Amino acid sequence: MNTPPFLMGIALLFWGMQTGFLVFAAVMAVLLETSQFIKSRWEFSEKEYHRIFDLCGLLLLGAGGIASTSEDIRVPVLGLAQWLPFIFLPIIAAQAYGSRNKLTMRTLSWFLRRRKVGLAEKELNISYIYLGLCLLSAGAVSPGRSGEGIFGPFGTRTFYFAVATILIWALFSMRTRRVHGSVWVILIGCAAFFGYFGQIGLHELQKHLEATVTNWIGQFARREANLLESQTALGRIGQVKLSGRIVLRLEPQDGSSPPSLLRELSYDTYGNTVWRATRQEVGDLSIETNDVWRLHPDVPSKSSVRISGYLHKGQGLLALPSGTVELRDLAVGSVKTNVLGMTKVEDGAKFIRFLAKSTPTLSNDSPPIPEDREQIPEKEEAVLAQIAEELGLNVPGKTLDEKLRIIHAYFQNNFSYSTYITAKHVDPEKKKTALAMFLTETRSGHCEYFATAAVMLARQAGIPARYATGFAVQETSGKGGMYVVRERHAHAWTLVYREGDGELPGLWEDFDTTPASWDEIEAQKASFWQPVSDLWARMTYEFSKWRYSKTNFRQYAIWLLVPLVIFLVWRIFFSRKRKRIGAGSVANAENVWPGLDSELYEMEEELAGRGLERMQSEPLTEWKERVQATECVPAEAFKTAVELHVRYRFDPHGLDATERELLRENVRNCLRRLSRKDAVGITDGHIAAKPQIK
Amino acid sequence: MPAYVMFKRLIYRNYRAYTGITFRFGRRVTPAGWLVLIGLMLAAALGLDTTQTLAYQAFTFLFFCVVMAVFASFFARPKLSFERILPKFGTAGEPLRYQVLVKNPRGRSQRALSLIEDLPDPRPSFEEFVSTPEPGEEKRNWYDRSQGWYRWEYLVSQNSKAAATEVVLPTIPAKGNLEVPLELLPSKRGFLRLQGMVVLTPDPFGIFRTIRKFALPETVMILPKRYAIPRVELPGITKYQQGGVSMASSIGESEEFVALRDYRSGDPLRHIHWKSFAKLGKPVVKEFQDEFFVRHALVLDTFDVPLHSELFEEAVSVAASFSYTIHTQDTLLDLMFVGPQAYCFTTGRGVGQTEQMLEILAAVQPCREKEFSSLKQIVLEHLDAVSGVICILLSWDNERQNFIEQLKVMGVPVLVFVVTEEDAELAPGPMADKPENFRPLPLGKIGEELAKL
Repeated sequence: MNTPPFLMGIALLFWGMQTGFLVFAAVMAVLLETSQFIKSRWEFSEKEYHRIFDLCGLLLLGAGGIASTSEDIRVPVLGLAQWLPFIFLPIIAAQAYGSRNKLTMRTLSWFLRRRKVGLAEKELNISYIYLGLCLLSAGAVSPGRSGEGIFGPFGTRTFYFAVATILIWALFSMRTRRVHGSVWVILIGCAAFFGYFGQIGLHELQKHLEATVTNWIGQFARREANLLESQTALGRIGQVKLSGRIVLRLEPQDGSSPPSLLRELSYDTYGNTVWRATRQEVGDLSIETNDVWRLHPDVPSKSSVRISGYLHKGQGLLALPSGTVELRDLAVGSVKTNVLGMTKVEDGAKFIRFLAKSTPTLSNDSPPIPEDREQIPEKEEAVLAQIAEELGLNVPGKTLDEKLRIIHAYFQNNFSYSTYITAKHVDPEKKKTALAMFLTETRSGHCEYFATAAVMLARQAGIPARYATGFAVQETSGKGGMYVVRERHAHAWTLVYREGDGELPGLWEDFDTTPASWDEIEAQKASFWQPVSDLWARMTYEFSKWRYSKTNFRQYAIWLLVPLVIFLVWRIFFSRKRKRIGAGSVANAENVWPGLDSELYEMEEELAGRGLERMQSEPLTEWKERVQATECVPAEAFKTAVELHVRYRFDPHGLDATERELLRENVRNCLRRLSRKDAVGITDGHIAAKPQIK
Repeated sequence: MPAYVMFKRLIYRNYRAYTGITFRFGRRVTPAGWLVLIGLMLAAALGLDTTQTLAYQAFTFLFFCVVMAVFASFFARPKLSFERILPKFGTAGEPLRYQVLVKNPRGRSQRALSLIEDLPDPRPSFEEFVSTPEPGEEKRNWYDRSQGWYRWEYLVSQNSKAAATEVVLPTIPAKGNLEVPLELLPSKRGFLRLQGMVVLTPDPFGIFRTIRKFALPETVMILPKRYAIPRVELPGITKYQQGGVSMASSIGESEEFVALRDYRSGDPLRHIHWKSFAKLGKPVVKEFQDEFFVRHALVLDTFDVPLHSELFEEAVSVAASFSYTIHTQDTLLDLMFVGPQAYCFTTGRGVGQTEQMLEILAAVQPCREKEFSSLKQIVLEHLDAVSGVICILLSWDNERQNFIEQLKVMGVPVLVFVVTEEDAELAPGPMADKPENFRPLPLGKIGEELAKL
């Protein structure tokens, strides 16, 4: 290790605090820091270093595999990043306790192992690389986890100071002595200062950019699930194009029939081709046991369906059958619902597969408010009133069912389904709205037209109604009674409210007025390679099902690694007898030359730190003269020390005890003088003060 | 300009720029700097989403460290002067050590500087890039051939005449001098042009280094690489031969007394040892050490080879090894080869120096203008004067076999060396009667083969 004492330990503890592995980090810190104080070293051969690095590779592979099975979307990358100090501990420990303080590039690269010369022979000390790894791993922690007591992770504000301190420490040890220490301090201070405001700026910039980009994308995205409003394609000329990509798969359970509609959202207020949700009261559902979320406690379910689908960034809206009372096996962090029957999940995996249990006589929506009954845009009112009049919807005495039948029959008999909206759907003088054009002129349109018109007519007839979006279930898939829902099955329909009758509570019912031909028309849009893409989707689905399944795969994976790790460890440590070599004989155990313990070496090291290192092949006498010329050491003492050192080193008779002590004393004298120089201070690159030699 | 040439030129410019940038970047960035830069990139990648991780905070700190390092490096302008103390010759493949006197004219000492020799740019010209294929290029796949990256790498390595070692200078005292040992490892024979000194000044953080060049043009002759050759019994060593004696510094017998023997008719009277004559009653003469000379032709084939041919370089090395070794023996050597014209240099026994022969060999280049027959001609012209011929050939085709055949017919002993590719197998052909005098030298085993002599 060539990091300053305790730096590595502090970096490891910092990593431990950030990631929650504090106990392990403390053990690792002690393990690595102790190597700086223990002189004994293991003598590993090159091949053994290779094997140790292979072990790290294996651990990385295993950790990658385990991370990829995690249900938390962030784990695969960030989780793996957090484990890196664990994974590379064997190799850094091998370097710390091995006889060589550097590793060859051949050890660190499988590609270079075949090469004999060049880059493969280059040596690298990985201490600082490992230190950087610890800091990066600490940085891979989500900023949300902070403030958990004294040993908890650093928060967004304090993390910067911690990481900057460790980096400054590391940079201090790598600094050059070209400039005065104060210049270095000023420069690093500036870097830290700008860095602090830079990181705040960067964070703010991302927030700003995210907001801008989201707005920008929101304008173009057709089906951006917006909880507050739904921009319909009413009056928009052109074809509504949606792909045949499979978004959901349904498996009805226990012989029950699948739901015909799966709802994501509903809206209550319409105007200018936009449906809005005016109420957003959101409530959290609490998990019961083993991923069971209950929407209606104590209500038995009548049918159940297993739904599989993908989440974007671990969150999204669930498309559920009406009257869903319970969600089982839903492995997500939280489930939120609102008064309009929305169910939103967060902190989930990329893929979810859950059981939705439902009772058709229930609904999750709040009872109607006056807007559900009355809200009709002013522009549309005249046309709707006229149609309601023609259909006799407002004739007193008509029941809800009769009214609904009339509306349904009206659309079925007089309207056709079309996804292609031409110029004739739009009033050139813009006097009529898109909805009015649909109702009076063209009488053809897609589901959004039908759903919107039906809501308006129902409200005109005094029935509380809402606009719902989601998917229609209409395509079976192979054997086993499975259904698939494609993107083009996205649908809009109407929700009408049936009042309760004392025994039964009030209920929002699905009311779909889109002509039944729509699914056939949509099915014609299937591309010719749909079977191929379906096959691929099926394979991805099966893989995801396995990968995110609730089996104990992760545990098995760990056990699979155990024999491999044991094998490698055995190869490293027990394949042949280890040779343990003692202190001082690391480099050359066989040849113990006299005089190697001379104090002058200490002196040489000290002077090298001051730019007075002995050059390669520079005779000792020349070096002595060069050092003496700088007057940084007492000339006489230094001269005597060098002479005695030469004798100690090369004279076959060596030194007697008095002379040996004299050498020690003289070197000590010189070192004392050097340290005093430091205290006086070095300015302008040369030694400023020249105290008298005593 | 045809599209093909435009494409090649584009590739050439790319490679040139890439090599230049990586070279400069490699010098500018210290190992600590690489660590900082890689850390910076990883932190940027990991901290891309500032709401997910905190790595962006490490990124901003490191980023401003780099900015401050770049800022500080603007002030690093050491003023120094240099003086090189160069030897006259170096040898390819052997380290060339010399001293450099560094003078600091300023009134403040200079610390933590590094010094390295500024060597010529090894990047090939466009013409060279287009016209010089890499050996074995035809075996590469279509893509590699069309992109020519391996050819570029090969040409850069061939044009790199030497590798310089960087030294860290100790503190140079204010207005003081320092003698620094520098080392070069020349890889090619010929003139090595040293352009100047490069001083690398680190920034305070030790991340980047400022490059400052000091012009100091000088040239050193790099002699060809030589192999150790044992004492060889060259073909055609015969005593009392006449050729070449007139060229030697002393003629006939030396003053060295060897023995006494009985008089034979014809012995000069002044060699009679009168004392022994008186004692024995029959004439006895003094014998002296013979002075005799062998004159050999060392024929170097310079034909049918591409530029930067390893075969040719090895052939020159073999020739240099012979000229160096044989000179230590009692031999005259005529080096014959064809460059822009036909050359014959004689050295040995006081005529010319070994160094001169090596210098000539250091500068010899493949001949492209002339045919092999021109070499044949010069050898035959000088054949009367030589007692044996050592041929160093680059191939063993019919033309060369005929040449050897002709030499043998004329009764001249021949020792043939053919420098070949590693796996080539050659039939002795005209040398079948004396296979020991026919020595194929496969690349990579030349030293081994020569040691068997």
